[in-house]
Amino acid sequence: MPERQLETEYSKYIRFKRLFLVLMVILTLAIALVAIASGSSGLTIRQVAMTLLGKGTAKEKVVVFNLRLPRVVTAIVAGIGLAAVGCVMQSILRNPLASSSTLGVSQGAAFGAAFAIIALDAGMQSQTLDGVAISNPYITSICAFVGSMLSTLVVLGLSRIKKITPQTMILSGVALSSLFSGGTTLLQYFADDVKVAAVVFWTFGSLGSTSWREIIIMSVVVAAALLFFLWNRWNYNALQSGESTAKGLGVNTDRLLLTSMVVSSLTASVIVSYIGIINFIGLIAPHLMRRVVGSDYRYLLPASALMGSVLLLLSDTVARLIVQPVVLPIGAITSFLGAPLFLYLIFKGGKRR
Amino acid sequence: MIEVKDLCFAYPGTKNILSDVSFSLEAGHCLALLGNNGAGKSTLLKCFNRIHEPQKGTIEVDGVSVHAMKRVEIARTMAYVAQQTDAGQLTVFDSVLLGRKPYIKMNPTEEDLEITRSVIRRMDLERYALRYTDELSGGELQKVVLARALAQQPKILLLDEPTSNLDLHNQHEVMRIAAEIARDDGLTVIVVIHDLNLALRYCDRFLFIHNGGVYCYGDEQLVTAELLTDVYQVQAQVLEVHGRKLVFVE
Repeated sequence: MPERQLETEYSKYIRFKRLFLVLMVILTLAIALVAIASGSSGLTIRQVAMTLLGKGTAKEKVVVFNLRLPRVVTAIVAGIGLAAVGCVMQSILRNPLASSSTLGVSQGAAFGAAFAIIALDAGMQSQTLDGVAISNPYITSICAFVGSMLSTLVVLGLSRIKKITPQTMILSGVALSSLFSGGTTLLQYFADDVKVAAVVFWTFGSLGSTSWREIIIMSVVVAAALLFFLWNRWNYNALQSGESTAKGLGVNTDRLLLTSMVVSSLTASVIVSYIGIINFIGLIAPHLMRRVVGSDYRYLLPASALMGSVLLLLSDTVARLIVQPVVLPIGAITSFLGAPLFLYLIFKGGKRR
Repeated sequence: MIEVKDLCFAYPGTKNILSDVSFSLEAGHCLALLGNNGAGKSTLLKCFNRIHEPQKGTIEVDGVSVHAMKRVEIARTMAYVAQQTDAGQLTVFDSVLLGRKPYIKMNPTEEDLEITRSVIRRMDLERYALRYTDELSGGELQKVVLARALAQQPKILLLDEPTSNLDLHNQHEVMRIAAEIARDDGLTVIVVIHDLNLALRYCDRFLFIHNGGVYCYGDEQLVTAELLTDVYQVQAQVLEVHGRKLVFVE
């Protein structure tokens, strides 16, 4: 390949990846518009767009800003967070099955929520179309957050005793998950039916119960985590070639593993404590994008994050529309849509560019 | 100039893998680290750029202690090629560009890209520059990993068994490149290698590690049948063919 050709070919290759990211942003926004318009109020995409630009009627404003937009923004922010965390976990743990729940975050959160609902009486108040309203969502979220972080802190604490390796972390995470699941089962065993139902509904996950205040907290955490991850994108690239090679390239691998793990767990904990357990997004979004943009974290990270929000938006829209007016549990829908896609990817593969 | 003094290393809770290893090496040489499996060769190699932190002793490069250097400084001074070649799932171009990591702040500069391109040309990798590394053969991959190390623009190249898993052609290709780099660029190459004939062909300094210590160190005159019997417990002849030493194990 002549000298100029190598330069041109590489520039073309980089341009493709950047263009793909731009297309993903446009796709996310387009699906968000469709998601806002979809539902019983019969809004058109044009009406939604006009309302977002401040030119809607009072009724349209209520539907868009009070009902739909918080839900859609939650889906975008949580999707970005869960997928970015999954993408990073897969790099630092060098395990394609790693995701935000690997260190026991989900089970820790479920235990925390169960504890709040059953022991602290933050339980079920009323049945709604959206599932079950938790009478004290703040305490439930706080306990879920504490539970998930507790799991992470124990895993990290154990890793300090024995040298931190991805294997020790994964194995400790599996043990902790099991412990918390056992704890949740015991709590449920001694609780009455109503509270058990509330715990079960909480674990289904819901995007419809977040307030703007919670969305802002979630957005700040996700944005900070994304910046941290992007700052380390070359380190994650180096880590793909093994720990020794990464050290040889000047990466402090122990510190990278520890800080990335803390940031990932914190982000996942905040998301899970507000919207419940949504497992599949963090696993599938990076795998999907790896097939298209390869494993270069400069592009894989933002592409996975955007794919996470696309998948969560699509899942939520399907969950709301498929048996109207009932809203199906989002966690189940992500798995129903994600699993066949994942199997297709495994057996059919894809063409990277 | 590399100066190793009284180096000791042990994994936590085990006895010393390396005990009081001392030697010095002038720049521009190609040193073969030789010895039995488990003698401590790879461990010694990993002590140079602090992948392993020795418990005792010092390593100095041009009078500067490696232990006083930051990781990034070490990565600018020494490039390491691991025994298990795994270049991740990047394109060849991006894998080589990764060698510029110790220099990249946020994004690669035009200089980083130019160095990457020139290394790719030098190693004759242009044909598959935009192919993914998991689609390459073992020999091609080893050249990519070597290219990445060169893109670090190091003073010292550390190679951990670079020829294992390679066919005869690629074994010689990789060692020829390493020896050429030492000769043409004045780089110091330290290579852990098992094949004595490859070592005799391409290296000019030989250090035998035995039971964690330096058994002997010098040029090719050092390699004798008696030494091989002592270190490897084999009966061997050291022949001279076309002016080159050749080890023949009986």
